[in-house]
Amino acid sequence: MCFLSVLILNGSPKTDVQHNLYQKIIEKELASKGIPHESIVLHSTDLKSCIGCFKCWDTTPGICTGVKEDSGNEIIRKVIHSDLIVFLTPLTFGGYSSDLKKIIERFLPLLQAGVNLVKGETHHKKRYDKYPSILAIATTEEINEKEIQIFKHLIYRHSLNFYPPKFITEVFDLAESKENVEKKIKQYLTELEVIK
Amino acid sequence: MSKILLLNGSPRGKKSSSTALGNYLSNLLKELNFETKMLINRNQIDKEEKIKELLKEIEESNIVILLTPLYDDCQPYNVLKTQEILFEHKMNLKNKLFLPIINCGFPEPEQITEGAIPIYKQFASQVGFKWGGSLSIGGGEMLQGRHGKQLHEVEKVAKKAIEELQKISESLKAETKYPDTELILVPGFFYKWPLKNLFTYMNNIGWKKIAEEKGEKVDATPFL
Repeated sequence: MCFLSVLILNGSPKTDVQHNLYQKIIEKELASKGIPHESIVLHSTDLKSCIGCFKCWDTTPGICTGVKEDSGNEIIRKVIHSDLIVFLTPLTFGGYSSDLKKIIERFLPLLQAGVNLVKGETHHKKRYDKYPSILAIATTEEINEKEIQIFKHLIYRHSLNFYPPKFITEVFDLAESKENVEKKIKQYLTELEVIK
Repeated sequence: MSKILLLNGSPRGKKSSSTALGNYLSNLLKELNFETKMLINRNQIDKEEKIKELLKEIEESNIVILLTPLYDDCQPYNVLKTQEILFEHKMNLKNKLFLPIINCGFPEPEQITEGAIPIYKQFASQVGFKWGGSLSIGGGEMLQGRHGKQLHEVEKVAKKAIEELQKISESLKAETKYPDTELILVPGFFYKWPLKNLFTYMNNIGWKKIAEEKGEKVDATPFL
């Protein structure tokens, strides 16, 4: 099985060049297999944050019309047409960076108003039949097991509301060698059935 | 006199359940002779002068109470941005108490305590705040803050939340520990199977009706 496309959402802050390296490693691997992909460095876009108006649920279902004049709808259109999305983020208190969080909040129109019961717990309803898998990669200068567990659980909770067919979460120590990062990324792309 | 900053993290701003909770709590705290101030956090993070104002308010406060919704299992963007700013500025927050009050549209408060509370605890520990306990409210939409309602206007639904706000204000006055607390606003009989299915059904019907009144289909798929 070969995926159609991969969208990399790079949530690194302006001052951080380290994540560009991770982005390049993933891009290189995908390019070598001829897999279409696109990377978006979120801090360099005009993306604005969700204002919680719910217009994407009850006024223009599926499209954000509460936030004006930004690339939110354009990006989430790419998200729903991707087979894998990659989150790149510095580990921030065990969670995402603010740049990455901004686009994750804007995924709301991809889900439907109302709720489903999943194992007795309420979660968002699907709007589309198919959602992309997720590879969530965080990096940290100092490995903290507690924070790693928080991040893994956050992605698990996210998966309950976003319906990725598969998801993998990894936290890299920034000191980890480029070779090891390349090896692991190749392994994850294989596990996610992006590459054979 | 202790000064308390009520930091309102709702992306909706004034018309929100966070505002309704904050206004009620502010009045309780004033009755106990606390000085309080509420800031709408989303307005404080884009311009340098506003960031300076926010940092000054935090510096001058003894207690910071964050009132915010749960967005995608964790903090809304504006709250996270503020947390990053506080971390970067390496402010001396020692001995300042941090107490988040978080409400979630889903009825289960565990959706807050599983993901967001551990992140807030990491944040508090990394910037030097003293953890002051937390209140996680499931079913925050029932407070109708989105429609501009205040807690006294939805007193019946808000009863349990009001009781917890009273406990928070009393524990701050007595300088005793407020525990990490989960609160379910949905009536108990609705919270359990099989009536939870009915609650879900009614919720879905409600959204469908609102969209239909605007001539839209709630399950539209515009990107296909």
